[in-house]
Order: sequence, then C-alpha cells, then structure tokens
Amino acid sequence: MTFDMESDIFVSARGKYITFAFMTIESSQSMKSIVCKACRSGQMGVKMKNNKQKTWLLIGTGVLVILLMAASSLYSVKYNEARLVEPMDFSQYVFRMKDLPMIVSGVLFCIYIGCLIVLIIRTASRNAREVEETHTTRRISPKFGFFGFFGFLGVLGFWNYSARGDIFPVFFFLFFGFFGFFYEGKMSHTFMDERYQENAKRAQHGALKIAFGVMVAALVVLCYGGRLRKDPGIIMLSAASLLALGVGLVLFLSQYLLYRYDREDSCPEGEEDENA
Amino acid sequence: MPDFECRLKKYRQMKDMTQEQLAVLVGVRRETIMRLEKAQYNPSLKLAIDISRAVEAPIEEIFLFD
Repeated sequence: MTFDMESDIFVSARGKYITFAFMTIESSQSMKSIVCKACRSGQMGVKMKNNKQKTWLLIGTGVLVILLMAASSLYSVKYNEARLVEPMDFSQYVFRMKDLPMIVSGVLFCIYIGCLIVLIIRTASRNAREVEETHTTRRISPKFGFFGFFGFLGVLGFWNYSARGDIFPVFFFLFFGFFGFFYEGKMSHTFMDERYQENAKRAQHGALKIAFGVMVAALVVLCYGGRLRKDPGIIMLSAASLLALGVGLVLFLSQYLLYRYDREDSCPEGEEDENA
Repeated sequence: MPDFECRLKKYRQMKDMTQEQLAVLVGVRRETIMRLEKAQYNPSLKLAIDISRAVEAPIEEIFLFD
C-alpha cells in the first residue's frame, strides 16, 4: 500500500461530523472503504440508541414485575392467609381463586428471569464473537465498577459468624474484583496489538504475585501465636475471607495494572507527532 | 527498558508517513509506534520486519542494538 493522495473527508452521521483530516488515500477503493466505515458509524449511532431503549425497557419491565410480585404478596398476606408467600406443603395444595394474583406474578417473574438469562448469554456470546473477529477488547461500561461496593457486604460475614455461626456473606468480598471494571471500561474496544497482549500477560503475572504475597502475609499474621487453634470455625472464616479477598484482588489488579502499563507515559489522545 | 536505539522516526518521516498511518499499515496502535520511536518497547521479530517493509529500510538500520 502506498500513499500518494491527500484529502479531507467530512461525513455527516446523524448530525455529527466525522473528520478524517489530512488522511492520505491510495485509490478510490480506499475512499469507498472509508466512506463505508463512516456510514457504519452512523448506523452504529442508531444501533446504540436502540440498545439504550432496549435497556430502559428491560429495566422498566423488571421494576413492573417486582411491583406486581410485591402487590400480590401483600394481597396474599392480607386476604389469603399468606398462601404461596409462606412455605407450604404442596402435596395437599388445592387451588383457590385468591391464589391467582400470586401465581400470575410468580409466572411473570420466572419468565422475566428466563428472558434476562437468555439476553445475558446472547450478549456475552456476541461480545466474544466481536472480540475474536475485530481483535478489540470487549465493549463494557466503567459504571459496572460500582458493583465493587458490594464487596463491603463481606464484612457482614464476621458479624454473621459471631451471631449465627454462618460465614457465607464473606464471599461478597469477591465483588471487590468488580472495581476492575472502572479500568476495563476505560480500555473498552481497544485494539489488542502485540504490546497490549504483552502488557496483559505482565499485568496478570503481577496481580497474581501481589495477591499471593498478601495472602501469605495474612496467613502468617493469623497463625502467629496459635490463634487459629482456639476455634475451628475461625479457620473456615479466615480461609473463606482470604480466598474471596485474594480472588477479588487478582481480578481488580489485573485490570488496574494493565491500564497502568498500557497508558503510562502515553501520548494524550489526539496528540500527533510533528509529521501529522 | 529495552537497551537499543530506534531510528524509526527518521525513516517514517522520510516516507512522509504519520504514526497513525504506519500503525494501520503494520497492524498496531499509534501508541505502540510512539513507544517504538522512543525505544521504550522491544518489538517482536514479525513487527520489526513489518515495519522495515513499510518504511522500506533494512531492519538493522532501524533498530540498533549494542
């Protein structure tokens, strides 16, 4: 491919102008491909708007289904002896007309959850296909990072253990890994060239090394003075929280380090060399 | 930090190419070309050959190792 012609192209895409300033073009074929790309970006805008509408529709339907469920539960508690709300023996179940709101809302809820699962699987497979075809990172919003705050619910595990002997909530520490989406989102749809792939491996290695070090250090502190011997439940609590925190840390650090390695000392967006 | 000298910028400018154009030609991001020119990134053999072909200069003249 040689560069022998210079031109500016302005393409209107839904009221916005896409500028290919001083882009050098070899032939009309290249021009055609660039115009097609711009048209595709216009279509992309329409597609994104449709996706936004679909998302709001999904959220709206979810809220409606939950409200229906709450209303029918209230109805059942108030006028139907809390049937189908409280646990009951279904072997002796006899249908009553007053059960109908609870049954309908239950079926709607199940259908909604089913649709949600199908949508998630379809989106995930479409994203995976796009990543494979375009060699770009998956499209993801940094807002997913806010799910990381659920990680703090893991602290409830310590309270729950002392109150009820149950350690389950400590697994919420895994959600700390979601903080990584703040950085993955910033690198959403980035072309994965060889430097990116090298940095990704470096980041993964660094994250595993740090998390392993932290886990070993925490274990040494816990084992000091034979504290773990006093209560076998504490061993389970410590192991579960360390494991969940460790996995969360690896998930977060691998994204954070990748972002740092990739962006450190890099030219700000739009800044070009003097030859541009 | 890779220990080599990179003369890519000189050869790229001789061909009157921007970093973006060279990046598209060799299938990497502009940031990678920028890192290469600052000798902050050690490229794979394939990328080095692709760059050498793109700027039409011998590989050993673009990347100078001690």
